[in-house]
Amino acid sequence: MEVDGRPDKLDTIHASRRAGVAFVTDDRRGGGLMLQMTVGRNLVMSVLRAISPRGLMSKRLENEAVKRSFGQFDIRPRNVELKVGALSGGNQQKVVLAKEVLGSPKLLLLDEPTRGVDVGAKGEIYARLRELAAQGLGILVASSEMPELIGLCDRIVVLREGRSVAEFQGAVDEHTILEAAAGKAFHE
Amino acid sequence: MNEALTDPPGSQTPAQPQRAEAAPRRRDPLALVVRFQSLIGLVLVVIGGIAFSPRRHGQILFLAPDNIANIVRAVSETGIIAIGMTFVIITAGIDLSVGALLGLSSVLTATMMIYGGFGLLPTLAAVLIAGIVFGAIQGTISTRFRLEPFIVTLAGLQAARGLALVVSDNQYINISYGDGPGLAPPVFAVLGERLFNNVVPVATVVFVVFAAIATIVLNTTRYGRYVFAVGGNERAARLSGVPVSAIKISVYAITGFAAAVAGIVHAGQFNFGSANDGMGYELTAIAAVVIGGTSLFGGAGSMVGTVAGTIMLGALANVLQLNNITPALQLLATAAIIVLAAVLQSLVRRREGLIR
Repeated sequence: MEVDGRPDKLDTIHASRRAGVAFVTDDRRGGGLMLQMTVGRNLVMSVLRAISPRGLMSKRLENEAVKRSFGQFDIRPRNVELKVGALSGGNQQKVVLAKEVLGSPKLLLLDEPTRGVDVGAKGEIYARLRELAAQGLGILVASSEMPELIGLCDRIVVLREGRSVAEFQGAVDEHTILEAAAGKAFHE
Repeated sequence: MNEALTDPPGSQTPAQPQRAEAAPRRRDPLALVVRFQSLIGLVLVVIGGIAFSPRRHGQILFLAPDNIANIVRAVSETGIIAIGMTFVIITAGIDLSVGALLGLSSVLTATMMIYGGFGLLPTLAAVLIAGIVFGAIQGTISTRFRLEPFIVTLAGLQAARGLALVVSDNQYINISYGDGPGLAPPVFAVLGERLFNNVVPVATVVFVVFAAIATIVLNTTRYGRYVFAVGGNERAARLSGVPVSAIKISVYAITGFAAAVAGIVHAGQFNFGSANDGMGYELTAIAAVVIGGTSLFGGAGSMVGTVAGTIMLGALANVLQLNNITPALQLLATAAIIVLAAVLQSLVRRREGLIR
């Protein structure tokens, strides 16, 4: 792999984060959030280093970071002291995304970014992701929802058994993608 | 979990008014009780102590300065251990070795000064470092081999007792003070004394200072956030770049350090080192931490709670003693309080949707 033209194996979480790669798991309760902690504490998790000069937490920097997140994603209710576990699925997902975006990654890897998210929050998450992409953030989405991919992506790559079998840019319909994913067997 | 997935994302609808978001929740009264449970418990015990205290010449014995000094002195060793234990339990771990490590530390302290002829500072430094190393080894084994800390520290308990028996040859090592070989520096005896007009026990001062430092570390440092993160969700912490293994090892180093401090205080208070002392202290400490509102599931807890829980248990034991109630009943009362604290915690977790 190459990062900014330099080879990098990215074989550890640490190496990936240093290279500006952030990952949002499809399992936000299992691998994304600390449910019994507050929204605020979850949001700053990936920027702890930056907001704690000399190892001491800076209230000011922390508040700024949280405010930035709330400005980017409309997390409801707007209460940083609420436990994340008490939020709806959609708002929990916004917290996970906001947390990773806060770390200013160069590449954001999303696995099923709207699983268990209600319709309203979905639309909002898509809009934010498009905005972030327009600002120059690279976003790679893995999803099993065709409408999601079609609506969200500039480029869709179909993988079958680990190999790229088709690539689409621009308008494409669900049927065509599924056809490529299923291979020839689909026609017969 | 999955709600209907029908909205064609291409439509890019602006954020709809949120579904069923409900108004921001009012503070859950139960959560509030749990948050301050140890302080509430402490207040209740103190009120009960005053009400049921034997009186002499109209004076409430429970509130007599000597009695209060006794309470805070008696809890200082388990309190120091409980402070360390709070870090471990917040990471969802447990350390059963601390009582035995207190015994080992008291033996090491006495042996070095009496038989080794070491001065005060080398002795203290060596015992504290030994405690840190002992804890760090347990933490390393637990993280490296992915073993439950319960098992690793259970083995650590046995190891510490075994080492203490070897070092002391299963004998009390009496500490006598003076200058010359076979005598400890007289200044060490200060640990058994009281300061400020003979009121405040030195052991308690050590406990309070330790608690203050731990509170600051847990609440205001990046390290403290890391500790909470590891217990809150280890996988999420790792993905967020938290050095999970290092944090886990470090919290066991902290309990090791705490046990060593408590062992030194023990040796100073009682003027001997004994391989069999500190037995069951780990359980008292864990009880104090849980009563203090720290979750055994990790990710939540407070130092203030632990201190309050520690003093509450000490005050309760004291009230019962003053009334000549048998130790058996003390154990039963402690048991009831632990169960109550755990039940309250579980109820809150259910409400917060952490258990389904």
